Amino acid sequence: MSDRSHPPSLATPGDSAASALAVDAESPPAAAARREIVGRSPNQLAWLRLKRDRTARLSALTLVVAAIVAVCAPLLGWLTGIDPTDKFVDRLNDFGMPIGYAGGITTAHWLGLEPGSGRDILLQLVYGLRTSLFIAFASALLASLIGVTVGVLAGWARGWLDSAVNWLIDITLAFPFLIFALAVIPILEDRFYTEREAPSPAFRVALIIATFGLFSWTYTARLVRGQVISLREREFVEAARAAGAGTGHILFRQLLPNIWAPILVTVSMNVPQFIAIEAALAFVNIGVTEPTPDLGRMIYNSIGYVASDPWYTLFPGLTIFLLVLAFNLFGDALRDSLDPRSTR
Amino acid sequence: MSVLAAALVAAGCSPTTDSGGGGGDDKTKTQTGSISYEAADNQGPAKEVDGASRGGTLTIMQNSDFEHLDPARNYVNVQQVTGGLLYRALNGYKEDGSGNLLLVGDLATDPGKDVNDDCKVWQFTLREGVKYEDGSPVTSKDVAYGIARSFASNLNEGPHYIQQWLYPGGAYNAKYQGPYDGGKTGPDGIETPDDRTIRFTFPEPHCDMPYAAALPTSAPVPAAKDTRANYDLRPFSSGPYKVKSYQRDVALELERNPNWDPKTDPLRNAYPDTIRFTFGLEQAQIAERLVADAPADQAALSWTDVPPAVLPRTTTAGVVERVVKGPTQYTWVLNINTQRVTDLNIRRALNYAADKDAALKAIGGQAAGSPATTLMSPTTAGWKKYDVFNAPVTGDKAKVTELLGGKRPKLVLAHANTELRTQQAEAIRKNLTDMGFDIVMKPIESSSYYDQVGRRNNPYDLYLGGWGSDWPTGSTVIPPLYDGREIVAEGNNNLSYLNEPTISAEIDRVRGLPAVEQDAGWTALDEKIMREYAPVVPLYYDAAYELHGSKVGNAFLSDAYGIISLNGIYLKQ
Repeated sequence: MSDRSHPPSLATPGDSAASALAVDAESPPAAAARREIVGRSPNQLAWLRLKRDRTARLSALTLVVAAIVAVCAPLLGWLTGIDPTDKFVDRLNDFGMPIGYAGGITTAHWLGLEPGSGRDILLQLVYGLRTSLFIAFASALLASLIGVTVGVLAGWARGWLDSAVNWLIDITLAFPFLIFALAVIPILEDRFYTEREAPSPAFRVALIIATFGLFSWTYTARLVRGQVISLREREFVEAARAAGAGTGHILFRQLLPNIWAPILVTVSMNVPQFIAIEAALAFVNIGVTEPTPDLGRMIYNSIGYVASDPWYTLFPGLTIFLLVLAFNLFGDALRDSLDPRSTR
Repeated sequence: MSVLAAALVAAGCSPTTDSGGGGGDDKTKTQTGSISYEAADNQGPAKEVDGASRGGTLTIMQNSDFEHLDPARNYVNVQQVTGGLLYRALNGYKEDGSGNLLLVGDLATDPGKDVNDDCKVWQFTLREGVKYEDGSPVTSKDVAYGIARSFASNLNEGPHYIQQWLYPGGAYNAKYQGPYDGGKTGPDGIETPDDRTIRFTFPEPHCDMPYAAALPTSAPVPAAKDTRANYDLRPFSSGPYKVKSYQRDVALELERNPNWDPKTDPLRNAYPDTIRFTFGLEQAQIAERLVADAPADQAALSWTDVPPAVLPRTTTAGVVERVVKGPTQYTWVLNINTQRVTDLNIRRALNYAADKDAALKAIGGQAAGSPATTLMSPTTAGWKKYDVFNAPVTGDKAKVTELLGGKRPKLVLAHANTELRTQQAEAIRKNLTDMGFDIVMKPIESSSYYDQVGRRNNPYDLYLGGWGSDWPTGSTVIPPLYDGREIVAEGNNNLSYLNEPTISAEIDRVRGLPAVEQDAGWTALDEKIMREYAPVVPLYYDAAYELHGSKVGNAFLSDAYGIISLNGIYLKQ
């Protein structure tokens, strides 16, 4: 990755003509007669590049819309007067299939009804999106937090601590995630809840987030460790130490600002992965339980209906496809904007 | 992608109509379930089916392998119909799909002689000329041996009627544990004066003995061929087919038994040359293959119901004629754990609250069954419809509020964790919550579901259960399910744990009635239980919805077993 600690005018060819000298602080503008030269920090440059990228704009828009829709789910429920668990069984025929065109699309139910249960697809989708996005973001953040902490620890310390952390990373990578989840989630639920209590949906969600977080930090950790190892020998770190800076200052004020970019990209790539894996958990009965709406469980239930009611499969499938695509494209664009010299 | 688009357009352009279920007619066949001693009914050969032709290989596609084909361990309908091709019990069911269910003698010349007219001593005379697959004759001693070995504790999965009747008062094998390990050759009460006669003497009267003798328990097993726990793999054939090969969980192949004489058999036509069972296919996969009817699947059928997702594709011409559907002998009820829910008003309120329509639509609607109001199924002899509560099928909120009187009871609903049962449980939860209850859902691993709810001290309040009569009278429904004296620590069938001395006394009284009055007695007791105690919420009468290929002929739903009968089936050449 490129070296941000040196002025790019010495080391970075190919900067766009619009950006000028990039120094650590803004330099004063030149004479007004000439074209105004404005100093920009690396972050501002990255932001500009991102804004210019059309793919990034589109995918960011998609994500923002998804986030707004997910957050405002209760608003939609209030507007339509329907609860996501409401069953419109009278709109189902004798086989349990929704009556009408395209899986029951009407003015009252914009995306139709679920076969069998008669729930409104739009509301289930919107609430399910909320659950899935929340789990995916929280897991990504947790994984990054753990990864960064461990990575910095391993990269900074030498000797046995570094070896110990490497060993821990290897073990975590080797551990079968799905089997662990299948075993631990029901056991923990039984431990904390009696046979007559239902675990609150929040508990199951928390368990899923914890499991994802516990298993996905390794990539970030290795990445951060590599970065810290390469950066800790640099002159600016030596200079800081010579000036009397403690470990804390070096870690937080010198090193971390230089490694947040790849971490951000990793987070944005992880989120769609988590959305997909959380959907997969529904297939093995350890996803979010009924009656909490969940995108993954909806996809799982809808697969059998591909031939009989493809509209039921289409809407959640399309949603998850667009979401994952938007996240991946945005992550790509982010990486490009933060480091234009990285290979495509 | 274009296929999906085409499917979307196709599905979008034609509206799903309300009559997608095929009209919703309330066709519940009432079995007559009569016992026939007429010579015409009891004599072989079986009546020829119009247009039938001999030959061909019939394929039966199944989701999973049979657990037990051993006659002593056979208590599941698909196993009993398969076993019926391999061995012959004393009695059997003669049916032709028109609803006239006749019980006649299979190995025996007639359904059994009540020697002293007190229903305590029953005598069966075996037919002449019945031979095993190796040509040796079937004797009454083999029938006695077959029953004797069913007492062994490791062969205990089958029905225990005859065994219990021979040793009443206590566990069926408390006093006799079978001929192995030094036990007597046969239990007390069975005599075989000669090779063609077998006589049962019961301490108490049992007028249902002809029905019990139709269960596989009385199938003949030669002592020399008894492979004990391995008998499942290769029962020694006394029927029209014998086992050619059996690869567990893969395939079972049956070929003709050359020593079976059709003139001795009033029940079976045995048209196909070979019958092949394949296991391990997904339910949806089987249904799709039968709907598509490719040449390889035209001579095939399945006993697995069509799953809800494939149902809409069975209504088109070309497929709808190959659907075999109808009511079965199972009734599904929402059991209320009366040990925990002791307030009768709450139980009554639950009966008013239940939305049976939603519970059915969650698992396929009309194809899965029809809403129920009684404990016994309409297929039981003498069944009369009654409705104690007269609530609309979607529930009656006003009455519920009235009965609950301001309370909001918290109840735990346990369910099996399969996809369909989870959806059904969610439908019930939503329905009861809207009606004024606080429902907590608890999923249970489906393979141990009945074990869990069958424990007397289980922690749940509501759980679904299905029960089918072993033969079409109320005596195999009411006593096992609603007699409090049957309750044990584990393995209960009385899932509502109803323990009322008045009901137990009434059961004894009806049992003692003369045979002709028993049916009416059970029907009256059915209504009495619901009216006075409401220990369950009857949800629906089960229906079967099966498919067969276009080359399969004379496929009809057996009234006795609730699946496609194989006795008269043939393949169009």
